[in-house]
Amino acid sequence: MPDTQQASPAAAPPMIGGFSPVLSLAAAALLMVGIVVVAPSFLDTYLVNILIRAFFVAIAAVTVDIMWGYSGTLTFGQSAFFGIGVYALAITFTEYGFGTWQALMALGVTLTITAAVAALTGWLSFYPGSTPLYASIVSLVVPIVLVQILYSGGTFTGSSSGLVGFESFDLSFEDWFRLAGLSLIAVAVVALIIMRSDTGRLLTALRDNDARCTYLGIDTSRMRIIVLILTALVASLAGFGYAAFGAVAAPENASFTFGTRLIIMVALGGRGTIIGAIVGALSIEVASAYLSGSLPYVWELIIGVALITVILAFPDGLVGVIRKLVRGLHRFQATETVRLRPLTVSTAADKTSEMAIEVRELGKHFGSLSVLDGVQFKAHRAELLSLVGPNGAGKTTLIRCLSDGRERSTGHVAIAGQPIDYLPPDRIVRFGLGRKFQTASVFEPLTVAECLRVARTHHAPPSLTSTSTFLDLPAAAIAVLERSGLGERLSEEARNLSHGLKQALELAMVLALEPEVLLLDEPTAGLTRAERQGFADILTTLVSRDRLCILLVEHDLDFVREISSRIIVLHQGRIALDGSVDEVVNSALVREIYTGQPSSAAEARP
Amino acid sequence: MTDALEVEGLASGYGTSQVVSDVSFTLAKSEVLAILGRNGMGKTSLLKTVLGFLPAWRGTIRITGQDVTRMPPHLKRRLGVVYVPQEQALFQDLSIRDNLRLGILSDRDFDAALDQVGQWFPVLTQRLRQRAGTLSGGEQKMLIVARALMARPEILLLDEVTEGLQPSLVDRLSNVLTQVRRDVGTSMVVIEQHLPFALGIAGRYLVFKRGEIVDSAGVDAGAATRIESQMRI
Amino acid sequence: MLTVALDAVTTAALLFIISSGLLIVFGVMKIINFAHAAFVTVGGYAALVGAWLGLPWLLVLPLAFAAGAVCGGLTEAIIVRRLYQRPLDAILATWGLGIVIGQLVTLVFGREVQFVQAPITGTVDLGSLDYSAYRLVMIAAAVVVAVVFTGLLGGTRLGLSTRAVIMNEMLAQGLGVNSARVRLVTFAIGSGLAALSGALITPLSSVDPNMGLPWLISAFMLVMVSGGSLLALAVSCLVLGGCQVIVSTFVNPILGGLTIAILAAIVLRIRPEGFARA
Repeated sequence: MPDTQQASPAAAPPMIGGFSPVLSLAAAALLMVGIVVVAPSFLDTYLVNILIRAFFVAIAAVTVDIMWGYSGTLTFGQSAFFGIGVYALAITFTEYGFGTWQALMALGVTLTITAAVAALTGWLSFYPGSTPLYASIVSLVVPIVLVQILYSGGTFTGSSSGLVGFESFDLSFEDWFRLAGLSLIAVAVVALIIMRSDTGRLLTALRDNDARCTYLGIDTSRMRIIVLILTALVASLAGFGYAAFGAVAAPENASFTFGTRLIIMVALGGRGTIIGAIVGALSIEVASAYLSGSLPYVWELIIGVALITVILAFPDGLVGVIRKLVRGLHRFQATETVRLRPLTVSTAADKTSEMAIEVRELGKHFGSLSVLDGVQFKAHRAELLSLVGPNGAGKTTLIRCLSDGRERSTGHVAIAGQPIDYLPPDRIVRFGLGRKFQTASVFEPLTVAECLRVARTHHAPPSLTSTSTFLDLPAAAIAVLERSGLGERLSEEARNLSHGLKQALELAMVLALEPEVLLLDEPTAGLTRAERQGFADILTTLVSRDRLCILLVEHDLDFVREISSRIIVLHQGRIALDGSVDEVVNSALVREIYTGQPSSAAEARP
Repeated sequence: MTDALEVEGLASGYGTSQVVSDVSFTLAKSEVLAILGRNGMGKTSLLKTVLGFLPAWRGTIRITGQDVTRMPPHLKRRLGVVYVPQEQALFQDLSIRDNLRLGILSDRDFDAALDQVGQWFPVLTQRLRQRAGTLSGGEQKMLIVARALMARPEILLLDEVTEGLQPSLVDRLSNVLTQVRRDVGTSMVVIEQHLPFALGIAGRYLVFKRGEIVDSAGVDAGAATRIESQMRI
Repeated sequence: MLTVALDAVTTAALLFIISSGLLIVFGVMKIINFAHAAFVTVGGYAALVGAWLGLPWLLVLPLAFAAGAVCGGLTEAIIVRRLYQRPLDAILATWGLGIVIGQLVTLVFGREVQFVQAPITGTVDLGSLDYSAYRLVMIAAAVVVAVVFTGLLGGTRLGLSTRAVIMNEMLAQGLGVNSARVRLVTFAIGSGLAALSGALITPLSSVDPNMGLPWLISAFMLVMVSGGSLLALAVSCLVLGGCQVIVSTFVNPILGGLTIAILAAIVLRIRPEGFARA
């Protein structure tokens, strides 16, 4: 469950003075470059020294923001990767002296070891069913283990004293300043571009609603591991630079304490903004350098109190506060408009299986408690099948067993002709399955257009550098958007939509997958009469025109009677009846199940 | 005499979805009111709103004249409002004894209350140490009802209490509830799909559809047929 | 050999006392309290103060517990209560509190390592070897804690309410349990236990402002592995604590310090819900 109160990273990059976001970013970057090039001449040496270190630390802080602020993993472990960079350089230069090939070797070692450790950490942290808490725990353990390895390394790693006195790159302070500063700017610009692109929005979607992403065919674990590896590599390069400048390696550079320090910097500066991470890092590094000498314990105390205050009262940090003030003054915030475009050719692989759903001997047991038993049925394309039954009959469990290969205890399920075996949902979705949840599961911090873009991820991988102006969607999805009025509100954040509109958005997102089989769990809950009617029309069109197979779980029996071609009645985990609308509606057994009227064929219930 | 429970203009929902719309009804002392309607119509959400588990968007709730709209659930219990939820009504891992202990507010009154339970459902008092999760469905229901009645409630809210019960047990339940109502004067709200049971103990009924009350009348000879036609598949 | 076995059991005992407080808090509130280490430190310094004042040991221990309980109660009321919807942020806020407490302790007491005399010195003759008497007291203390805990949870009304809240908070509220009060009391007791363990540890090693930290990670991992059951926690402490001692003695003390964390991380990867239902 993601922390529910975290504000989203900006849905739209701010326009400054009316210029487009790209120009604003370019202008700001150029300004920063200018400052960095010129500054060393005006600042005193001590401050320059501090700032060089601070720049490298800020790069590490940016990686923490990407992992935590954007992707939602509270990681204490980026310091470990920083430390790997520091020590790879220090050890190489200590053992082999300084030179070009040694530097290249150190670089190669840094990148290789970092990638390996990050991959291992990722494998441990991110897997179907893992929780953000567990990932945080693993990220805690990594730097602790690393530091202990360093302690036990004897003279090779310098143990608790670290390594000093090795020869390193010979650059003037001013040149180091420019190098570090420009590196930070480069990292910031790249990070901002990516985080504002469709890829960045995808990460936010991942953080907000992992389950929905999985059911859109996205392998969320693999994505998180890739993000971890990439950010780890950047952090390790920051460490490399840090040690190259300072010519010192200490276990504190890899420690858990430093890792929490990075988090504090991002929290105070403002998570999910990149700029916040940089502001936080620079402020704390500079202030620490000046204050920790004169007020050692009080400074730490201030940081602790600041952290508590920020978490409780200002979760968006300093940048968040400033942004709220600015937004108060400067209300206008145009965004680039997105335009819908119907797909002319289906991008779904050509699947012509007539058998949409096939279930044989399906069972789901918890120990001796049997939730589903001996469930068996088939469904074809162009069929609208309703699944009804009293509470506790097992309807949602059945839906879960159809969409997640690991759910059922026994039996065989095939979707669109493909057996699902023990596959996770994201693989099954790719067979052509779409699942719509009971609770209007969309991405709250994203706009309508961005939600739909994420839904197309599997068919069209997102851009790393920009947001798409055109949104290519199948006709069915566009029909839903136009019918519900969402077509006019593409730039609105999903969290501001009414319940009915969220349901429509989720349906459009699922249709964007171009599914052959659609599982709908109580889709009309909370809808007005008009909305329900619109929904009924949409479903019947999907079946007749697009030849979808739709399996619908519903309580509203009027709705069911109107649109179904077939009804399955589930009772106490078993199929009580499977037949046409007329058969079921007129059945004495069904009446008994629903109204408790005893009939002559009543079975004794335990 | 003031009504035991008075609900006026109540509205609530989950997030942006409204599930209870402008509901008003009263429950007199010692009265049994049946709330009928098909699944998913909002009956359980109504009870949850009355209890305070779901915050009310609008409207007032009064218990014997006292405004309790903003009162948290555990304090309502102290006013004598006992709730029997439809799902997860028992602590599966606690013993029968511990489950019953939680039915009354203080251990002091436990032994006396336990005697009463023994009179209603002797099977429970014979197996006090057994884990609740190992009981059969019917026995679990008995435990839930016993726990609810032990406290001699002022207002009893039952949500689908007969679900999954065999007819003989439903009859026994009916008798126990009627007896308690006579002895203690408990007012009851009974949410049910089992019409004969509901109409057997209730004096009045409401039909609930999509978060609203669509019919309200006294229980008389024609009630069953009227309601059936409204609830027909 | 016997020494190693005894070390394993006494280490497990110590781990149990420290982790049980964290377990109760996690069980009731599903929140990890990163200030737990700071409460251990508070207990250690309470013992120090007690020793300076010349108080008898039997008075120092409850004093330490009380100090921890008060800190815990304040923490819950001021900080944790507002963060139930944001569990990751709760970790951060309590970490911040840990920093604050650590710094305050340093400001008041200085950052040097200090020592407290053990109340029971000397060794006990166990036949083939002499073993530290105080370490054996650890085992007794852990057993007492476990017994008192189980008694409280199982026997008292508050214990029943707490178990109810852990299993199903909404149902408990419907039955009249004031779950907010249960959380407050639970947090206070858990923190009191942390402080108590701090007071118990100090004679074995020393007192310094960061003394709690190494224990935090291990305690944390043990709580996760135990999945919320006190019995599973006891077993995990024995098994993993034993592994730690074995690795420390026969391989490398530094690696030994890591054993619990690494083993627990792997166990959790394979069986995320821990061992409560094993």
